[in-house]
Amino acid sequence: MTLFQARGLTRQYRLPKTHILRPAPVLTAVNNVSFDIHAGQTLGVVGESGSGKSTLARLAMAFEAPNEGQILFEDHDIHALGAGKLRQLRPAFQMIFQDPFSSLDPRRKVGWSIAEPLRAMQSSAGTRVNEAFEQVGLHAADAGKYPHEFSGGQRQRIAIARAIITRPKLLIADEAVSALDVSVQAQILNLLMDLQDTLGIGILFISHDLAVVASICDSLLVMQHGKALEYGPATDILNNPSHAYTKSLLLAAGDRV
Amino acid sequence: MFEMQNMTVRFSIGEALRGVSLRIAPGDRLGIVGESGSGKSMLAACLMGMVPDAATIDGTLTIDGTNMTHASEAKWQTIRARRAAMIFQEPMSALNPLRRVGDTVAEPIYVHMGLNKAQARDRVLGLFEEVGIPDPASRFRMFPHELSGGQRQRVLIALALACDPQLLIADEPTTALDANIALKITDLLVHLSQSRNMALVFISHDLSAVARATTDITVMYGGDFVERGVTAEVLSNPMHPYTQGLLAARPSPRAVSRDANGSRRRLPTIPGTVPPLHKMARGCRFAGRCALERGECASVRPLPFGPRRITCHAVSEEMT
Repeated sequence: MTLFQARGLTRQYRLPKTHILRPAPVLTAVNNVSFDIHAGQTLGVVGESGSGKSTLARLAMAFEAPNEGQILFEDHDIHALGAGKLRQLRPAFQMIFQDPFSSLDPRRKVGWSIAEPLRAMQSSAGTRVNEAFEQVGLHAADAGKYPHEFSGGQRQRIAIARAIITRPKLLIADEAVSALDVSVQAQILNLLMDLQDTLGIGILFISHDLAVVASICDSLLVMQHGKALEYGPATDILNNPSHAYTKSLLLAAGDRV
Repeated sequence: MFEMQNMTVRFSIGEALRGVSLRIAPGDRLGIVGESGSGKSMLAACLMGMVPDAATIDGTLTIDGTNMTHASEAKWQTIRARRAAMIFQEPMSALNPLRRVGDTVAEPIYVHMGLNKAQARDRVLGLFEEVGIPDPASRFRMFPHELSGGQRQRVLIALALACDPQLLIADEPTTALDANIALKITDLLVHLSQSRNMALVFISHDLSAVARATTDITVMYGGDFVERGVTAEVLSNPMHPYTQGLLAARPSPRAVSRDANGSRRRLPTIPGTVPPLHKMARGCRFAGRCALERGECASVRPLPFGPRRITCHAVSEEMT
């Protein structure tokens, strides 16, 4: 069974009317995109801003529904499930957000913040909070501190702890390392690889930086203007890009020393 | 023209800059790299006379022979815009959303150059053309939200160039931009530095952008300059353990994420994080995270050594 399958996803937004008598223009943010994610594997999504990457993440998290197409999570069509059923399924797929400074409540101890998904599931936290902290390389005692007491990299570890506390099968990381320094970025990427190896989770990893995506993904989806330009095993695409846009991204990322 | 001698910026909790010396001549392109908290932005603040009041400053800063170390705010206002200008990281928040971008760029021209409205407008249109903004006349009347991120960054560059500065300080100018746009902005800054014979200080933690933009590089850690030299040489053959760590941590776009056995390849990292100022070692700031650390490192401050002025006990001993 494939962990996660997206089939022909299309998401359109209606833009503000430009003229009172004309129909509102439509923006197609994601246009007929399909992909699979297998357990223990990472799919990287790369593209510039406005290419539909984050819309894809919102569709995958069932924050909004596609106009066409479907998403199968372990063979459940997540957009066809009722609200109650979806809620029961949610612990199995969790999201890591971009900005570790704004995604934690500054007035709550981080231990409280990361237990939030468990309260939403109405299950007791118990030792799970301490366990999650240790899994992401922090100390159990850190649960009693406030977000301002941590550095950017540590906060992103906390955000990851919050995502894995429900023992998910799929993690969706939208620009999860983009706000971090190079050295901290490498630490967080390694942490995601460690978690994947020990927990066997699938990851949907979204970034505008092809070098970052290349270091962690097994398969790769290149997006531009909402369309999937290339999709396949990462090594094939990186060694032999067929599209000019992918080549330009490689050039932009490959111009390194 | 800009000369900093033994500059130290001290706060109650510790030193944000520790006795750094720097010379910037017209047309120089200098890259400053290092992690957050390494003192890059404090260095820029020194050059712009924007050090917070809570800090005490030691050392000297001279601009074109004038000692500016303890200069008054009024004196600094004659320097800013005309001698030194700065562009910031976030093109979204650096522009007033309620003003047309042309008016924003015209403001320093009124204030510092005393031109009238029509002359200022002509000058702004010329600047827009120079920084590659298409159709300057219609862009002049637009509001920031009507422009893309790359266009906004170009407007900010035009704003910084408004009074023909001799030095342009770019603090993380490409970090918030897409990779393709970042390349174009980097190339634009290089082009402007060459065509105007303007010095460029390019602060970034993106090593590839620094490699593209600059001829010389200074690596900072904990308020120290740890390694300096020609950009291409330092980046191809880093000698200080911190520079080596920074370069190794950068992922490669050609990386194959699994090796032959199917296990994932981990990225090399620098252990730990930049400690807060009051927890920094008294000796070498990098002590505690360094693979080459020895007994004296945490307590004895290493002296700059060799042509790259490397501050590391282990490296300088190896070289002698």
